[in-house]
Amino acid sequence: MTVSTMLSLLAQGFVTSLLIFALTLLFSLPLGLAVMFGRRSRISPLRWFVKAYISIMRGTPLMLQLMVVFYGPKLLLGVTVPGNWRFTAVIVAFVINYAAYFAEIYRGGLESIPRGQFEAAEVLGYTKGQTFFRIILPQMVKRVIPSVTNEVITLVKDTSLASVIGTVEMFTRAKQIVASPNTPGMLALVAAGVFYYVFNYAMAFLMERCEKAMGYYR
Amino acid sequence: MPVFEISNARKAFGALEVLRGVSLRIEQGEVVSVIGPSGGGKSTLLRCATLLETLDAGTLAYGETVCAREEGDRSVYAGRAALRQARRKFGLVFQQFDLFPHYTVLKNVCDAPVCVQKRARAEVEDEAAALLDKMGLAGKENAYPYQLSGGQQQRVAIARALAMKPDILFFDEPTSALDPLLTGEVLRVIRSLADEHMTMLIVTHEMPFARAVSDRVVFLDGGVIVEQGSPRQVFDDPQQERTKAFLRSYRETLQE
Repeated sequence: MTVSTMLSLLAQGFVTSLLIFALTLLFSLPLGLAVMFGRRSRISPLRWFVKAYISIMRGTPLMLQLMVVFYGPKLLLGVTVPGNWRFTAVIVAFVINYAAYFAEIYRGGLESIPRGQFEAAEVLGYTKGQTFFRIILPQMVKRVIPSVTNEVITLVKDTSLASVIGTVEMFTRAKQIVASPNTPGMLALVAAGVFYYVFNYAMAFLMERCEKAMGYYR
Repeated sequence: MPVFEISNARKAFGALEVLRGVSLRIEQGEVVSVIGPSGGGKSTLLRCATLLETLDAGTLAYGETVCAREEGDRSVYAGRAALRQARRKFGLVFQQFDLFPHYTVLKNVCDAPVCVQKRARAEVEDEAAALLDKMGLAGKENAYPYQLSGGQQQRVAIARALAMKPDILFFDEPTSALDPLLTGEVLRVIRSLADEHMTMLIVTHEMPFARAVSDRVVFLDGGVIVEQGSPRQVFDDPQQERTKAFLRSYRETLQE
């Protein structure tokens, strides 16, 4: 196998990794907000349910969660999900896992906002919705960006876990190259590492720009 | 009809009775200062008046808008619509200013009139500019709160409250977070409002200011109004032992 064939195989895998990354963020960032509201709900059964969900998501390996989501329908219900279940299962597992982490990050952000902000808004007559979206959320976003950056970067690396259920993303490709005879195996691993690193470097840069963009107030 | 009336107000936090039957009515154009030791119930009175806390017992009304009536020794609050209407009638200036840090000075003042009262933005902005000018903040419209001194921030907070055109303005120790120099500039602004007969209830520890600006001084201690009257009566000729003791210890602290 030539180096360029190897690189193109890795690049194909990287496209899948990116897709997992992008879809996970697309769904888990807003879902985390909903989870946070559930976690803070006044309805105690809902609150306890969400707490248990967060606890399980944080307390068990994502790799195991991937397998449970992927094999669960077949093993538990005897159902074969139509369509590309393998990929869908990856996205479902990643989204519910990351939403749990984002929910806790958001909650930390929300609870760090001084009570005076809520009270000032209440006295001025803002509705609950206006208070949240106009007054609280913008300040919350600013406070959680550093923690969200951490998660985003972890997610880029975590996409490699999809390999466990046979999704052919970049890490799976690299493993395959290493395992096949007459291939530049070590080079494949290093190249995959470079792909991850460069992408994460770009992500960190982008998030730093976001942080700076919110730096117009303190 | 009084602008604001609270009667027989009771409030307890657990076993701690903070308000034990406070009645206070404020007429149009009246400036009332509430003084008294910490823990005497001043802040709780203000928080109940501004609907940030609910009364256990007693009634609360702004003009014709009844917020809470009494039924079988308990306060029964009006519905959401009535409370929303009541919130339009008062403004509150906080000890810690509590400006919105992500909004410019102008937006801090204009946002609620535009978003809550649904008034025309252009009209609100003109009024806000005039208000800021009156507060000595002309040229600061586009600054963010963190760029201002505490005294300037508090003046923005006063403008923010006034932009809602309240019938009565409450102040919760408006200068407690400020150094003496900045205190002066905020007190000057409040005094100018008093000169225009803005109806105000001011919780304060600034005795000389309370004396100068108030029509009536209320001494609150132990959850009850111990004594009230004109500044001259309360400060120069207090009748109650607790008032005398409080003023004495206040003067001693000043001399130290």
